[in-house]
Amino acid sequence: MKKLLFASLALLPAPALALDVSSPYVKEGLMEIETKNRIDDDHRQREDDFRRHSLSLNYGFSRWWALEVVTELEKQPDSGYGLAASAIENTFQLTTRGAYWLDAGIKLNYEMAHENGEPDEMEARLMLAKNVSRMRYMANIAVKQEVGDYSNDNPTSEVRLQTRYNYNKYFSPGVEYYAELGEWSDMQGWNAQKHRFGPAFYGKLADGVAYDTGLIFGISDKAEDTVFKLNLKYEFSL
Amino acid sequence: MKHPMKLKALALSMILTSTSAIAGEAGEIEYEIEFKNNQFAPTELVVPADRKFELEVENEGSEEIVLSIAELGIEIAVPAGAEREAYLGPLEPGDYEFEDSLNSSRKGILRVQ
Repeated sequence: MKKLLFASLALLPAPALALDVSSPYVKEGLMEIETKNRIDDDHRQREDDFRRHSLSLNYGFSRWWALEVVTELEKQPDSGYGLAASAIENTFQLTTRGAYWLDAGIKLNYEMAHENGEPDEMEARLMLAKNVSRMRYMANIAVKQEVGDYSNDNPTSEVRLQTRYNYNKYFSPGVEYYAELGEWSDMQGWNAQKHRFGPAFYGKLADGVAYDTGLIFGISDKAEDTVFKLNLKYEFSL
Repeated sequence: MKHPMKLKALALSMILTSTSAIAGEAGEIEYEIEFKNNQFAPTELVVPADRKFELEVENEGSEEIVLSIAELGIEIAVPAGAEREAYLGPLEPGDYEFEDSLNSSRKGILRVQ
């Protein structure tokens, strides 16, 4: 019975990422309201038209620590919208900006699944940034571990990279790369992992309002053909 | 005998002087931008292009500010009554506008030369 349950879970689409590369910087004293959205397009019917929307509140309690509460809504290809998960995220900025060769931060998340058969998940994410005049390079390296009912004992990992050219405050072009590398104990080849790459654009729409959008293409067999992302953020002082 | 002593003292002082100049070159320069009376001061800050420096932002106002230099990807959030710093550079020569990203009518220029 247990084997049958795990076999049926394996047929479900894997949880999908919110597409963004996190910065290691904390904004002390600022409240941020952010929505992250993605729409997938894929030639496989069970992957096509997947949609994910999240809404989060983030507050910088100090110059080194911010707390974020996230709620996530998902639409699977063969069903309607449903509440997928809620998460609590702690971001710790580890270095003063520019003080060392690399700026670093760490994010510790706990995600509670709301869908039947989905496990909760813990995540530790190392966030690195390097600014060279108008260029910014960022990297996220994450380790995830499912916990509780329906969980898999094997941790998984992912890598996210971003390079951007800070053209002006309204428009900065960049490229992003996302890799879901799978389970540590059973690391598969390139095409059995999800690798994505594509252009992204960042900027400001008004005072305190910023966007982050892009069209990310699957570059391995397992990845979706195309993912459109649009993230919007409003920040203000309390 | 006095001559050699004077030469030694002169040589020593030259070594010490040159050493402190090198230390000065390697040390970090600090620049400060203040926010008071609802504006930044100075509104034009000149910094060198060829080296790293510390930028300190002091907020003497009664509300939070976020000093942003979009072309350099910099945002420094400073609560009311606080000072916060970041390290910048080396930067390419040019003029970079800075502003309060929560209220862009408060602005200035970072002149890198």
